[in-house]
Amino acid sequence: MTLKKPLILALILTHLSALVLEVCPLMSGRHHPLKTVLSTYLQATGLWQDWSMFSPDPLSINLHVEAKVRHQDGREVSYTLPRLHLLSQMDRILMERYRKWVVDWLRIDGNDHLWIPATRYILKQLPPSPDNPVTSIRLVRYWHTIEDPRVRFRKWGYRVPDEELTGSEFYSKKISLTGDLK
Amino acid sequence: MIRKLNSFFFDPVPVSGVARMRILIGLILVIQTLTLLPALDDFFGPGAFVTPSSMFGPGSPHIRLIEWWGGGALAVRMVFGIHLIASLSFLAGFFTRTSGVIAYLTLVSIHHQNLRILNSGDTALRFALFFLILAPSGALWSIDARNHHRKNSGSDQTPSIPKHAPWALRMIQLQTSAIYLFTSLSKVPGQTWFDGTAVYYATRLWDFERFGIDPLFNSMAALKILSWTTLALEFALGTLIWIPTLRIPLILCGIGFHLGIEFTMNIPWFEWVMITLLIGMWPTNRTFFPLMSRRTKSSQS
Repeated sequence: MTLKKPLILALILTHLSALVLEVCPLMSGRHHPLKTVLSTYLQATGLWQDWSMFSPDPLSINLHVEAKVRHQDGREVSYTLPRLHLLSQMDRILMERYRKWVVDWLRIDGNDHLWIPATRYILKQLPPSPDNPVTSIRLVRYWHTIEDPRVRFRKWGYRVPDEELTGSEFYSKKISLTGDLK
Repeated sequence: MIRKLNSFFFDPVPVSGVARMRILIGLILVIQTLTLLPALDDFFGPGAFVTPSSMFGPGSPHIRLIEWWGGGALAVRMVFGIHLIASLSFLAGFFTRTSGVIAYLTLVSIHHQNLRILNSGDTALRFALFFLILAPSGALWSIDARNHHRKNSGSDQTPSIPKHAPWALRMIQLQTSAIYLFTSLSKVPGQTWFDGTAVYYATRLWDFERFGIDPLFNSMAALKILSWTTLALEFALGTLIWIPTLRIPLILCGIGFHLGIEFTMNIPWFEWVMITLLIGMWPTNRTFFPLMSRRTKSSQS
């Protein structure tokens, strides 16, 4: 044994306490004097965790986000953030983390701190157009709610045409002629 | 009770369990890192779509090598380069503990650079690597083991399987069963897992689609059975797996369950990390690879 036994016992005890008091969903929202210390242990060691896959219920919407980019001459083009089901199987693996960002974080109303970096990122993806610069960007989410199968059962692999998706703008940003975000 | 716990954590067992996990986790680390390379700037660079300052306040205790080294494109590439080399070294079992520590620090730093792209597979990978560093995972099937054997015996023969206190392996096992238990508990407040429609919704998420299994995914009765089986299996893997007679059947069911998800859904890496963790649950007194066991026995005789 390379580590002394008391140190090992301390680590075992700390980690198991952290699992029970800090990570276990039954303790969520409950106060415990050790929670702060145990949370610091998990954060500092990189062992923080949350186990809530497809829970409490799986998502019941198919969603994607588009950026509506307006140029100085009034022309508007769409830039679509990755939609995995339109990609090859290999690209789906490589692009899954973009989906995570868009579906789990970017589209949520409370996550407005993510929208300026996202706008900056989208601006960088656009082909340069110095003669006709971008003047504004709007972020629009489009979604389709998966109906209760007892009301309408859809076959695996079904699709809804884009025209039938619900859309709502959730962020708008003007861009100065120098490319700065106003 | 104390004697039983002491025996559970400290009675020596063969190190083959942690050595096997080292190889599998090392392999996942290397492949996963390679798949991240094309998107380094989007995910982690100065122009990434998420800025680290939006995730951490000042004085946060998190390990963030990329930020500490300036946060620029060069720092990102340095951390990735070091991570890849350390992961390869960990996989080969070359300076196993040192390379494991470096791989862990760089992995955590990469994760802390953009929390918004992480999934549960990343979390599982972190704790598995953390405890494998503390386990004698390089004591078998590694360059370290071969060098150690050569130095001590002067021969190239396959070394016999050493034994070691399994406390770090036990922590991985306890943490693994906690994942399943907590996942099943977090479904309790929901409705769809109990009314049997959860798998219907999960399989109708277009971005997760991979390959469909037509009769299963288009029959409401089958989808209900899949939903309830998932909930029951997750609970069993979190609790009943500690009953010795149920352990191997449950591990096999769990591996089948994850292979099924891997075939039908696009959730990169998570299923492979979980399969590795389930392999780590294999009883230490039972052979996992009969072929390896024969080789070891013959080398011991």
